[in-house]
Order: sequence, then C-alpha cells, then structure tokens
Amino acid sequence: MSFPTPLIRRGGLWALGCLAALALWWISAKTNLITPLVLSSPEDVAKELLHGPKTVGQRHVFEEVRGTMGRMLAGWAATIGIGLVLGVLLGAMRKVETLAQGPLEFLRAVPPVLLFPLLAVVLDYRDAAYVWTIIVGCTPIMVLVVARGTAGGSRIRRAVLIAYKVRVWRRVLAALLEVGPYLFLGARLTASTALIIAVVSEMVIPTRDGIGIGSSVRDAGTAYDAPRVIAGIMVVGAVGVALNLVLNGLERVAGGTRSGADMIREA
Amino acid sequence: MRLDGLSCSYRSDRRDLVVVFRDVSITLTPGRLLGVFGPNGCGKSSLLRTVLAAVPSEPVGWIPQEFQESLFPALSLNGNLALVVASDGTGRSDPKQPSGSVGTSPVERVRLALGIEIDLSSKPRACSIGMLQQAAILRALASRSRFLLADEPFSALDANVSQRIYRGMRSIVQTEQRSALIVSHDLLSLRAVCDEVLVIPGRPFSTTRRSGMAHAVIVPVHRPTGSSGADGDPEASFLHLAQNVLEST
Repeated sequence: MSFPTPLIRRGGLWALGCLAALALWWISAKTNLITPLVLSSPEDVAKELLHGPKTVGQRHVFEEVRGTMGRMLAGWAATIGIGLVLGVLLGAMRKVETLAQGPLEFLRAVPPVLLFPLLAVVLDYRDAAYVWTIIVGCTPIMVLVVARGTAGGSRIRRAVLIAYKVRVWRRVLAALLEVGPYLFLGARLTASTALIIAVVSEMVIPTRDGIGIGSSVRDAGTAYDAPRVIAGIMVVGAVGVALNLVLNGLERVAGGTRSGADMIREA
Repeated sequence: MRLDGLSCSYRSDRRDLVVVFRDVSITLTPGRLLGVFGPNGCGKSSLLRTVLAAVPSEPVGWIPQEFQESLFPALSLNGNLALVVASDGTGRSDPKQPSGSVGTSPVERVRLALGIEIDLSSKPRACSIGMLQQAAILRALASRSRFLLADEPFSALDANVSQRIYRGMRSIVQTEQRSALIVSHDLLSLRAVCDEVLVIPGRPFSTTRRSGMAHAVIVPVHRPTGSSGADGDPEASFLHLAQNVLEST
C-alpha cells in the first residue's frame, strides 16, 4: 500500500475543511443559532439551486450568475490585454512609467463602483457600462503589476540577449517569459476584483434586462428570501474558487517558476 | 581584432567620477585564448564588459559571472540554448550533415567536445550551480560566435569537470579560429586554458586610485613540448613571472 501523494493529501485536507464549514453551517441553522431570516439551512439553499425560482418572474440563480459572469469575463479579458500591452510599454520606458504612475495610482485608489454611475449614463445603461467599469477598475492594477515585472526583469538576461544578437521576435518571447509570472499574478488579482465590481455595480443599478446575480441577491434580500441570497453567494463563491484554481494550475504549467503567492511572500 | 582606447568609468554613490582604466588596448587573436588575471577589484570584469560593448555588431559568446541569472528560469536548459544557438545566424547545424544524425547539432557537438554530461531537459531551478555554469559555457561555445568572452567561467566547477572543459574549450577555440578572452582570479585555471595571460598588478581601484591596468603585463604560457625537460618547469616559471608583475606596484 502506497502513501497518498502530497497533492492528494492537500486535496483531502481541502475537502475536509469544506465539509467542516458545511457541518458548522448545518448545525447553526438547525439549532437556530442564527435567525433563519438571515441564515437558511443547507437543505433550503440546495432546494433553491436544484428546483429554481419559487415565484413567477424570477430567474434561476444559475442564469443570473451566467449574465454576471459574461460581463465579468469580457471586462477581465480586456483588462488582461490592455494591461499587458500598457504594462510592458511602461515597464520598458522608465520616464513614461514615472509620468503615468500618478494617474494610475489615483485610478487604483478610486473605488471603481464610484465611476459606475457616470459610465452608466455615458453608455446608456447598456452592458458596456458594466464591462467598462471593470476595465477602468482593474486595468491600473494589471498595468502596475506588469510594469513592475517588465522593469524588474533580469539585466543580465537582457544583456545576454543583446550580446548574442538574438532576433527581435525571440527577444519579445523572452520578454514575455520574464513578464509571465507577473501577468499571472495580475490576472489573479484582477479576477477577484472584476467579480466584485461586476456584482456590486449590478446592485447599484440593475442591468437593462434585469439579469445579474447582484440585483437578484439585492431583490431577494429586500424580500427576506434568505435561501436565494445564500444560493447566490454560494454560486459566486464557487465560481471565484474555480477561477482561482484554474489560474493557479495554468500558472504552474505555463510559468514553472514562481507562483504569484510565492512572489507576494518574497515581496 | 585590436581594440584601442578602451576606457571605463562610472559615478560613485557620492556622484564622484571613478575612472577604472583609460586608453587600454586589447588584441584578440583568432585561435588564441587570452586570460586576464588580477586581484579582486582590479577591474578584470570591467575590462571584459568594456570589450563586450566594444566588439562590433556581431554575436558574442558571453559567459557572465552571474551565469545563474543569465538563464531563463521558465525554460529548460535546452530551451535556453535554443533561444541563442538557433538565432545568431551561425549556430545552425551543418546543412551537409544528414538531419537527425547524432552529434550534428552545434549543441551536441560542443557537448561531446567538452565532455558535459548534464541533463539538458532540466529547468535551471532543478540544477546545481556547477550544472548551470556548464550550461552557460555550452551556450557560449555552441553559439559559434567568433568571440568568446568569459568571466570566471570555472568558478563553480570541480577539478575533473574543469580539466575536461579546459581541453574542450582550447580545442574548439583553436580549431574554429575563435578569439577568446577569459577573466579569472584563479591563475592556475588560466594557465591551463590560455595561451597568454594579462596580469594586472596593484590593489583595488577607488575614487582616488586607478586600477593597475596601465602597468599590466602579458605573460605567455609555455606548455611542455613533450620531448624532454629542456623547458625547465614551465608552470613554476609562469607563476614566478606572474607573481613579479602582481607585486610590481
């Protein structure tokens, strides 16, 4: 009989932690430790997720989440593209970076949802307003992280490429290799931020078609529909964890050097 | 190739101009290995980097002192070699050789010549320091650039590996008529691999004192011809000469 590998052991502990949290929730709900108006039981939440809406006009939680995720992924993908290009340019040109740093830091400090009412008016309350709020909120983070990665790349490796007269497209490839870990770090940081912005901006102003987990949870909360609120929280949380796991796996497969977490620890 | 008027200076933390050396000339001869020896801080690495910057626009096989940092951590050693060897325009396999035959690629050929036995599919983080240095040497020689500039290229190698690499490096430089400049603080290594050694005397340079580059002397390396002991003890005489230069200021 062989001992479980570290990955299986870690996975087992991870699942055990989730089960423990679920048990704690179940006990709290069953013993009325917290009022059912706020915390419904796991069974009620499961019913909400499995059987769908209880009233006419409501949509299934999954449908609401799908609408939110569509906008979130569009904004996030655009953020990665814009952030990569601008970050590399800024990191490669010290003076331009210094010039842009003030405005970027300012934009990063402004809660993006504050910009949402303005963008909503400009973009006529269409989905683009939600997507652009994500882009405006996340791009400064992405740009600053990628610029730091570009500027902080090894001078020796850069000098080697110059000494060996390596062709331009290979130098670009090498620059991407240098930036790679920072790109993943930026992507992970902005993924969670994009999800938060997507949900909160729906809570501020519902979308035109009304589809979105933010507005759905807000309405359910007003109607004291705790199972629906918690079902929404559970699904968004699960999506966030899944996204993080996928990015973590991609980072390890593609980069093979340091994970974002390692880099944060080093910093 | 002769490089004249080489100068090196920099601003210190207190913004003082520190002149490391001025108007130095270096001749790099095809098929010959020139060593540079001197005490710590005498400007050996500065000289090498100045030469690196002064070499005309063609690829240079450079082995930096920071060889560990010179390899891309996300690529395997093979990937690191491919990044340079296939891109310099001179490092491709001989087109006359049948493709796929053993030892035809520049990397494989140099690897065999140097007797390097490292696993090139490994990522740098999985390699020892010695393996990384061997990879950096392999990269420089497999690139088939006309110039080889090496800064402390044997610092992390054990005696057995060093001996193999000395022989391989000499053989490649001589047969392929490359010009090599090797900087080291290990006189015996330089004697083993070089044809002549530039010995820089004096103490480390500072804001008030230039390096002893102006008083540097080229000491030739004589190797036994194999016939008899008529040459005396070449190693002892070489070390004696070098020692005299070192203590000349």
